[in-house]
Amino acid sequence: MRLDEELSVAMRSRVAGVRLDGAALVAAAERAHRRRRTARRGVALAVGGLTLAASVTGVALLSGTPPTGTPTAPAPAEVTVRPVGYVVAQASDAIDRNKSKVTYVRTRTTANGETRDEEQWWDGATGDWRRHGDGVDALITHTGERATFTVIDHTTRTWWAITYRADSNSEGWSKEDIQAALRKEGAFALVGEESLDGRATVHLRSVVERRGSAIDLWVDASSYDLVRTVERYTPSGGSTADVSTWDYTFVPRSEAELERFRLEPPADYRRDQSDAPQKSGAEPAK
Amino acid sequence: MRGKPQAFAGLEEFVADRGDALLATAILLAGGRDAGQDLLQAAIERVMRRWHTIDGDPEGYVRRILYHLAVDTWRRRSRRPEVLTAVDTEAVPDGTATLDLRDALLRALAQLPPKQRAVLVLRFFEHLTEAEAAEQLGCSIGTVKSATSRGLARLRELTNDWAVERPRTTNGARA
Repeated sequence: MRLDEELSVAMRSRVAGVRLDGAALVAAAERAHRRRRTARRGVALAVGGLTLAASVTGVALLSGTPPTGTPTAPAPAEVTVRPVGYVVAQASDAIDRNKSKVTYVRTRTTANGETRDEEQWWDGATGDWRRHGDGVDALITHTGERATFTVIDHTTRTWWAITYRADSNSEGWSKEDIQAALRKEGAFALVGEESLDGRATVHLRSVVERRGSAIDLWVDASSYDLVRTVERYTPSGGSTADVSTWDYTFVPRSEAELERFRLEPPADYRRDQSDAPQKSGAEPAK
Repeated sequence: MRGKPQAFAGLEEFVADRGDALLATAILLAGGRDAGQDLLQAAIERVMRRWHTIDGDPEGYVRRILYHLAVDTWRRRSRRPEVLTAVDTEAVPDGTATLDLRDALLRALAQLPPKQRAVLVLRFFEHLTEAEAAEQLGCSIGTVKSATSRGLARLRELTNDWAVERPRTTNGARA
């Protein structure tokens, strides 16, 4: 018998009678899927920051100088006709005003028929980020040029932590972020004034899509603070859109708020570094 | 409480139906039962990301992911140091020279570079043509030809070595 024929027989005999516990494997894959999704989302959010919010500012820069008002003062309440350039400029200034606060965001994402609620916080002063939801707590803190990323998975009672060189993009809403968003996001159109959960808002919508994603955005009609963004993303080849809704609240940096940026794994949880992202320059945190 | 996400409807049934065959391929690609199961789990996890967009029979899609993970990503992401572990020996009895040769061939297969191993599995276990194997692996027919040739040559070398060593062991396994 030739070698390739012997090999063929050997391989067949090696795996003859192999049985798989399919349910256990699917369950394990599902857990891994959830953990990796969490890790990816964490990194993406931490690096991207409030890209959606920044994109509005980008439009403001594109649109030139706002027609009226000062950079730091909210528009007068009696202004009823608001050119889009004016609105995005005011929204941009509102982002600047809230830069040193803690941004609290409630997110609801519907994807693949599954709805997921999460809470996130950004400390505008330090760039630290915290996430809670879907059975996972995550935190990114910054010390000098290093960031520490900690993830606690309550569904598996495991945790991991890495340190890595902090990307400049993760340090808050820099002008570089804004300009990058300016180039990438395109412009917004004014949809109109709307009441959102009883709050008077101005509704903007992205004119162009970016990789299949369209964005709607609401800002407070008086302060121009960001109130809500809704992103609709249709995966390539998919028939239904993933919808992600972000509701924003800006709060002062109080002790109670900053306490959110401290996270310790429970003592009886097991450390499992194998789920940590394989990022260049990353190493396990102490 | 989270129930089974609707997005993965039908996945468990698919794995129950085709899981044994997929695991068999994964074991050969990865070089052992445990590594093969991990490889298949990684492939299923990857499939979950696009499960709702897959039309028709998903097996071809799963297999393609399996091959690609085995050749590329799997080596880098695996929790295990390498897939060069010796194959499990429980199914290989002592006895004839033929069985010893087959055992040696499987051990040698586990020591080949991932791409050569994948090509040999596709050609001589899955019985794909060179063109089909090239399509599955996303490479040229020439690459499949050369990987097949080099893989078989290396198997011949390795099994010759083992043939010399065989008398020192009880079942063909290295001491």
